[in-house]
Amino acid sequence: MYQVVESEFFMNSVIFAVFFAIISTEFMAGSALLMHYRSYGKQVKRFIIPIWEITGTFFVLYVVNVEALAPGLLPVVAETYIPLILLFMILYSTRNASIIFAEFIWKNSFISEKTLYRIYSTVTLILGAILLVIYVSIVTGKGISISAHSFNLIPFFSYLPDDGIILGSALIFLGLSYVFYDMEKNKRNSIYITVAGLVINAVSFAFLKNFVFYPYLAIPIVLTILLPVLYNIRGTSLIAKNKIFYISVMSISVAIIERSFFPNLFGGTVDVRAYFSGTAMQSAMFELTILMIIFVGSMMIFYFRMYFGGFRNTIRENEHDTEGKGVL
Amino acid sequence: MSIVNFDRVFFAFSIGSHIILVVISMVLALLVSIVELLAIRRNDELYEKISRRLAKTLIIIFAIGTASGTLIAVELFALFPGFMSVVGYVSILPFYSEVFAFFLEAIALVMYVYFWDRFKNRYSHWLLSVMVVVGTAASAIFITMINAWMNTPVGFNIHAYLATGVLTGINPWAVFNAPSTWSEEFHVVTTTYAAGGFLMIAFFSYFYLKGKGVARVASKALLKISTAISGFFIVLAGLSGTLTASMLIVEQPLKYAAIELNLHSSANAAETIGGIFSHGKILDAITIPHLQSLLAFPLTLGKGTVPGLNLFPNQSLWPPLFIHLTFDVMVLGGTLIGLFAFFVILGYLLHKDPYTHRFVVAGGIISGVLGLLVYESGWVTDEVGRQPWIIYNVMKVSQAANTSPSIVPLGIAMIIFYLVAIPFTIYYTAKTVNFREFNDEPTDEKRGGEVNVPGR
Repeated sequence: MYQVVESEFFMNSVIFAVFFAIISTEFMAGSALLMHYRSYGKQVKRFIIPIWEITGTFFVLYVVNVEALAPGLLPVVAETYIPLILLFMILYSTRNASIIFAEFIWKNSFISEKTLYRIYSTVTLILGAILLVIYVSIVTGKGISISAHSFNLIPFFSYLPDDGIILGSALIFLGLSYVFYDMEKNKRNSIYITVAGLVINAVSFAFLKNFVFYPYLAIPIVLTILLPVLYNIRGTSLIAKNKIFYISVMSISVAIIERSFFPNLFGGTVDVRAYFSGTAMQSAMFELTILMIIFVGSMMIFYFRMYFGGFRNTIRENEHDTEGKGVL
Repeated sequence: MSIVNFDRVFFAFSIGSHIILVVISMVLALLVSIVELLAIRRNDELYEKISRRLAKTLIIIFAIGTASGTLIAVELFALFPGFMSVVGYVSILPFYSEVFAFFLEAIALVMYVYFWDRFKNRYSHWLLSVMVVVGTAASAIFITMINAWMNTPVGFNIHAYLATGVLTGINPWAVFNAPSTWSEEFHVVTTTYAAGGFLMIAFFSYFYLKGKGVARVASKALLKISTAISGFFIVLAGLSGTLTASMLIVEQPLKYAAIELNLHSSANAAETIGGIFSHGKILDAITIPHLQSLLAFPLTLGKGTVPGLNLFPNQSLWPPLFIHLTFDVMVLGGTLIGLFAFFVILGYLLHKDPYTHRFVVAGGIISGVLGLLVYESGWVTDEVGRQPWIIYNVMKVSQAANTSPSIVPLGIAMIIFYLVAIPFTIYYTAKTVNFREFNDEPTDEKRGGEVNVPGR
């Protein structure tokens, strides 16, 4: 039974890693659209417009997978984070509404396409911050009272490693956004900012009690720094800004970091395995998850084949159509 | 209001709002697929334009529906963590399977809309629309499985759970075939398409009244297709409703007795229309002798005994009896819109065009509103009819609910959000459909501006 639990956790990590990697493209899009709308807005939208609907589906997949993996954990999480979760959901709906309205907004509307994209970007960045706060607090346990099922932001933000991880992650994604969305004017900055983020993150992690420094943690560090470095080398920049390459690299990195905390959460006070269902449901979920990975993987391959097979050109042809008619 | 009741109201409001989007997206997916197939088969330029425009509408509804659906999923475990904990151990597989359907729908729809012109073979592109239809329907089917399991729980040792609170004897696959699953599936799928079809009739009736030229022709074509869809599904909805009532007699007799307002079990029961229960009596009701028995046991011409509330002396476990009135709204409203669809289809069969009469078009608008009311009433009847249980005879809502007071302000904020988001989405979608733009585009010279409408 223990082996099945381990495998199921591994699959959950993979799902989270892929979800996080894909949603991080939206965090990066958020900062790019806010800061460089005029220069790089079109190329950011070229990637985000078709895929953002699928990102949300990965979120649902992850939530349901956690629910099946550790049903006993849900009441704790639900009651502890209820204000943040509900706020997250309101913002998540606003994100969906603002981007779809931006895409199809008509001429002479009371609200412009650019304003709607700004709303989308701001909301997406706040969503990213909420996600980080929840995950970092699950790791460090600061501000959380397990017995009272409550979460207080003041002790959380008073703990410097918490702030460090959030700031470091924000810098990493800002640096990588220059690579992912090919913002050439910031080529050099992509290295400096990503390295700064990595350093802040490494120092912050070093202070955590339940964090174990395994040698394989070098992998995410190397992979993360590799992206801006390759981007700055003339012969390899195409590889660095390849969307699938980024998603693969980020997924591997996140999965490895997640693994380094397992099974001790909330500052090492909770062994998460105590919440695993460990019943016949576990094996049923295991089988369905394998099917799911094959199914979603095939669909995504089909999607990217179509995307790279000319969708970007279709967008380019329609770029004069900036009044909200999108690609249709 | 207690926090438990706030949880109830909050969730009821959320899901009541969400299903409007579900109904629209399910039928719109079907409509887009039918229209594109007609465009391909008839090589019709106008149908092509309509299908593109409707696909755009579908993706907007899908985007808002995705957010709303995710909201519902999160609300479930935030508001009812005790319930979701049991679901996680016993019956999570339909939820998980629904994610398959969700992915199918999302990826196929995105490719369908954004990669439209990349397909050289038009039928290959059309197949994506079929995948969207399958995805939307499968989502509804899987979610309904959870609801059927809540009504008739299986897959674990219920007696042991009630005695000890420990979940044992878990069969994770049993949830796919609970006693009420297939009758409920049949009823939910058919009523959803029927309600959606009538909503489309309302939308396109409005566009037809307001439109001119090609826009009017396009609206008329969609009116006909929507009428055919709703007429077909309303008949099946009636049939499935009868089967569901028969299932309730066996599996949930208390709910049946409450919705029919039967004070006593009877072998020759009259149908009670309207009426309220007061001091042990039913006041102000109309009764039709023998009709209830006949509807409950149609195969034996009414021979059989329908259950009454007298079988359940513990009144604290009765559901609120206003569900009898919501049930009446469902049945009477369903019959009225069914008659409307019958009248219109009969007109077409007699080679007349009922939609040339303004009162029929106005009737189309009314039927859409009524269809939605009927659909919502049906869900209220089902859900309130299970109260006070969240899992029938296993777990009460009060045992499952999150009683943290911090829910209240955010819950109110979410309700306000829905009140703004749903009407705005419908307004935005209506603006986006805007067939009037067709009038500014070159007409199809082959038809001289005319259009091949189905049934012509």
